[in-house]
Amino acid sequence: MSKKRTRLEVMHDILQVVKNKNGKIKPTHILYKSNLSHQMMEEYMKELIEKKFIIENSEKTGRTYSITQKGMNFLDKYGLIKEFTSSFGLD
Amino acid sequence: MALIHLVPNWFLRFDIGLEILFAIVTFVVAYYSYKIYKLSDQEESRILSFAFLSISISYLIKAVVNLLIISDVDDKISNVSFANINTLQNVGAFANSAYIVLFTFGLVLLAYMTFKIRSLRALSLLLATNVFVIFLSQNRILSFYLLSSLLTIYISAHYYLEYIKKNNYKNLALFFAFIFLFFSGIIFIFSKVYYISYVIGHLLELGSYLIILLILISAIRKK
Repeated sequence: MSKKRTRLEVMHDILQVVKNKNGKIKPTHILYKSNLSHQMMEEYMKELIEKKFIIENSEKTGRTYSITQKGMNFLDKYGLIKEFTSSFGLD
Repeated sequence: MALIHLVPNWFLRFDIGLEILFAIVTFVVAYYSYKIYKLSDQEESRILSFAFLSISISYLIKAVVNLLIISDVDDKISNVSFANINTLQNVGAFANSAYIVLFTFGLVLLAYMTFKIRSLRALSLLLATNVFVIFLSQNRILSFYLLSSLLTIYISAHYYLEYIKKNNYKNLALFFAFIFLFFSGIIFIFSKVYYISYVIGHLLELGSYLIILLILISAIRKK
């Protein structure tokens, strides 16, 4: 049985998906790749936008998301963030 | 109000060194927590950062005032006047109040961090209740140490539950760190009567902050 992911892990997984798609991705693709319900994904996307990790782009073909520099920094330092938060019981 | 302890002569400057060390360790934890907050925007990291910053400043105040008092006593030991004693008492009383408020604030923030809810009203109520109970009490020092111990045992319980849930040995180490702080608070209560309590209290604090420092080092080494 797989372990329940923490909020930070889910955020990391979503950002990784966005990054892997050259920083531009549609919501359906994130839903498919992140293994979340639609409602949960919307909540996380809202949080990631508020925290300025991703930005939403409105295009003719629909909404797309791209990763920001802050989001890239989060991915770069994710090992440190995860280790620190789990060590100090913050996750 | 004064924090009165019986201190062995041989420990007089050693205690100040330890307090400065505690201030440095807690400041480093605060710095890295803030760095993690800036990277992750995670509220818990910000709370941890402010908690440890508050505790760090409280130790710094305690160390500086102890140092001033000791040097003042050294200078004026041959010429003690009531004016000198009054000045020392006033400075000491103010600094002790600042130390109590900041240390309590740090522990309240750590306890608040363990809650799932985030509410400024809940935090202010928790802080106000603690500070009022201490400052309105007949025996403020006893109230301070008892409330600190209560908060540290609550924080310890959080880390023990985290350890049970996640089987992370670092959470278990932090449980012991806060248990040490709990016992140091209890033992300091007796330092008005026994010299050795003051020393044991400091050594338990040293054990606690060394554990916290080791956990921090092991966490930041993994990039």
